[in-house]
Amino acid sequence: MNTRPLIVVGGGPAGIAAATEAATFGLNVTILDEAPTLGGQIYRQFPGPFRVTDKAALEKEFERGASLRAELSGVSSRVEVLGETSVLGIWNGRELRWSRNGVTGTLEASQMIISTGARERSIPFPGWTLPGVMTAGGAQIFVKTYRVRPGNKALVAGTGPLLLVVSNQLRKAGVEVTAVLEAAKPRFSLDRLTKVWGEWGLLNDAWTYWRGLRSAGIPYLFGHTVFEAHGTDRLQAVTFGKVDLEHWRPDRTTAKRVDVDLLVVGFGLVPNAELTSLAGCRHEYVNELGGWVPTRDEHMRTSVPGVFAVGDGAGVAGALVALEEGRIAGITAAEQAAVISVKQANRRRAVHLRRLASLQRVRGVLDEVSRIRVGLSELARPDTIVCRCEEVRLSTVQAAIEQGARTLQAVKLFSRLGMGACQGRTCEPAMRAHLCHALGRTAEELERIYPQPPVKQVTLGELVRSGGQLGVQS
Amino acid sequence: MGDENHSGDTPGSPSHSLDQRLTGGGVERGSRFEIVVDGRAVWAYDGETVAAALVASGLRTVRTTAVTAEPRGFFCGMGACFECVMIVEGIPNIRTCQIRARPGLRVESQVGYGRWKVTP
Repeated sequence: MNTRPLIVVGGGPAGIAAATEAATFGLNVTILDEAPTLGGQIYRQFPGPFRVTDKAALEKEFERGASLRAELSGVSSRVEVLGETSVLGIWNGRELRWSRNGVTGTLEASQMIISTGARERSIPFPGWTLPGVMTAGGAQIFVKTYRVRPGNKALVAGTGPLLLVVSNQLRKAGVEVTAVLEAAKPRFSLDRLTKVWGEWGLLNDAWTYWRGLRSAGIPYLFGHTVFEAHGTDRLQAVTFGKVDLEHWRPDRTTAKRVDVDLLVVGFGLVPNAELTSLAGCRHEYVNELGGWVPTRDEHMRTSVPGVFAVGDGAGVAGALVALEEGRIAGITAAEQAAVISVKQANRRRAVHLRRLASLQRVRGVLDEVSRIRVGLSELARPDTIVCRCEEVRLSTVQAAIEQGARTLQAVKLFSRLGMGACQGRTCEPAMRAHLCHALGRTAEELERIYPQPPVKQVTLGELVRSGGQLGVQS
Repeated sequence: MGDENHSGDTPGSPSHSLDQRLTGGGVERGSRFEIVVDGRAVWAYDGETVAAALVASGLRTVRTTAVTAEPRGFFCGMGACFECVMIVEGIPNIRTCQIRARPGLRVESQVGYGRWKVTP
């Protein structure tokens, strides 16, 4: 068995910060990430063969990611980075199975920091499976990382600050953005809202983005959302309209239709809690953090000894919170490995604990603005596919309820919902909301679609080609 | 149009009248080569995923589903949703958003769960 002193799973802001702190104090760290290079979704780098010719022309996020990576480079002698490596599962607390280049193998960690980030929350509506309907994060990757336009004429719909970012990126890329539909209707103006987002640090450049949209004459419609996507082989038009202030119920009498070839949807983020679940960590349902999250103490320790959880994967709170959590976990891991004293650790942690506390104070505003409301469940019709992988329609889920299904697991067994390739990552959050509403049950009572290994697809051939040594070639 | 321009297309080569790549903006691409998509040559640049090259060529539909045979395209773009799977070098269910393009790579639209065209 290959044993590493500290394995960090996921090299986004939280993982990089954790690794940097632990390595600074002398602990050897191994970082695993699915991408070829570190940065996660927010600080995603250009592909290696792309060359940056003018840093000034890039977004500020690029600079922030670069400075974080530079900090890690300062301690690179103690850091092993394993890119393009998926983790298929975690067993016995801290033993993981990895997959890389068609080969799989096992690694054991004395301590493990899980920082697997978040994915987008999807809301099903008629036509949402059509080619041309894309998540906000997906559209961003095409425009920002690969510098490719995913469409020519777009509508952007959802909730939260990411809409502002992505619509502005599309505009700059030459995509005609017809409108941005924000389901929420804040009690204060967008001028004020962007200021709050900016202060919170989630969106430092909020004001610039807002000005960009305004100068281009792109309408930002509050209290509106997408009702239906139309097209046969690909997206041709979208129907949208108003939602009510309190529950976001669609008001069909206000429906309007617009011809577009790209619909970008972003209804917030949900934590990737698959690996913390497989590691055996205790989880709790926290709506404001995006769903089921591992329970943690103030030093980011989960219920499994030696396993930490940090960043959006342990509760969606944005990059600034992720950085502080990562640093706290990294310092604590060094303390537990006895490479620094308790006193040193306490001193070093104090500043990050303080910053984290101050970030928590302002995040209430953001929760209030982009908390998903129950009315969005009314967008899907009985014949709407709710599980994209297994092509399960809402009517089948309703039949499961009529047959007595009272938990997500029971619905899954009845309908195949969540049994496909994505393992319920896409459908589970929206179906939880739907079932809570339909059955009058709490999220805890509905339980979960429990993740199963392998959490990422792997061929039997890859499993057979096992026992590979990781890190030798790096 | 916005702040940036279309990249030009070279007539006579694997040509796509609607190349959706942006030029300028402080970034230059790597070398250009062809991949083969359903028997047709499509440009790709070193470093691009297959998905990026396909989106740049204007392609939106990558497969039809097993149950209802409806068309699917690129959804999450980051490897989570498994919607953009195609048959790559004879192996079905490959996430095109996660696999790098390389010269001559053979990519085919997938029908249903796909069929292996190589020995696993």
